[in-house]
Amino acid sequence: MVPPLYFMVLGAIVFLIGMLGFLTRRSLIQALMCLELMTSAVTLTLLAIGRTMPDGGLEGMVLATFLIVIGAAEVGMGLAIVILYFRRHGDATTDDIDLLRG
Amino acid sequence: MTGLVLFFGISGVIVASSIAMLFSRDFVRSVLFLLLALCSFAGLYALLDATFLALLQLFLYAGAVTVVLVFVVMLTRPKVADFSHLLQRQTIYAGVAVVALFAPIADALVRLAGTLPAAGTTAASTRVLARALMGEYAAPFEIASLVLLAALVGAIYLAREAE
Repeated sequence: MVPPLYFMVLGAIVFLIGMLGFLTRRSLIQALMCLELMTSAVTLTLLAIGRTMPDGGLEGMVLATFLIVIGAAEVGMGLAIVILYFRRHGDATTDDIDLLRG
Repeated sequence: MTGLVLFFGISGVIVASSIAMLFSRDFVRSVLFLLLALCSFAGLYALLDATFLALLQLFLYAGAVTVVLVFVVMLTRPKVADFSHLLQRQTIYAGVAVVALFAPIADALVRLAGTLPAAGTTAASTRVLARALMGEYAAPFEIASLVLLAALVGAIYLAREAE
C-alpha cells in the first residue's frame, strides 16, 4: 500500500499547478479546465486522508462523491456562462469581463 | 512494490499532462491533455481502493465533462492561446499567490508526515459506501440531487437562444 501522504503531496502539487493556470490563463474555458484539475486534486486528497481513518476511507469517499457532484454542477454552469458571454461579445477571455469593475 | 511503481508512473503522467495542458497553444489539444490527467486521477483513486469513485471519475469527468468541453471549444472557436502576457504583472502576482499558498501546505504536510497513521488493511467497499449514502447521508444526498437539478435548469436558461 502506497503511503497516503504521497497522494496528498501529489494532490497539493496538482492543485497548485491548476491554481497557477487559473490565475494566469486568459481564456475562460482554460480557466474552467484548471478548476476541474483542482477539483480532482482535492478529491484525491480527501480519498487519501480518508484512507487513514479507521472506517476504511468511507467518510472520504462520501465527501469525494459530493465533491464530484458539485464539480459537475459547477462545470455545467460555467460552460453555460462561457457560451452566453461568447454569444454577446464574440469572445470569451477574462480580460474583457470587467462590467462590475468599480 | 507494484503499488509504488504504479503511483509514481501515474503521478508523472498527471503532472506532465497538467503542465502540457497549461502550455499547449491549441485548445482541443489542451482538452485532450486534461482528459489524460483526469483518467490518470481515476487510476490513483483505484490505487486508494475507491473503485466506485474511480469509475465515477471516468464516467463523469473523463467522459461527460471533457465531451462538453470539446463542444464548447468547437462552438466558441477560441483563438489560439496567447502567451504574450506571460511576464505581465498579473502573472507575477499569480506566482506570488501560488508560492504563498504552497508554504503553508508544505508546512502542514511536513508536520503531518510523522503523525499520519498508515492506511488500514481493509478498505470500505462500494456496498458499504452505497449503504452510507442511502442511509446516514441520505439528506445531503438528496440536497446534492437538488443542486444538480438547479444547475441543469440554470445552464439551460443561461445558454438558450435569445428570442
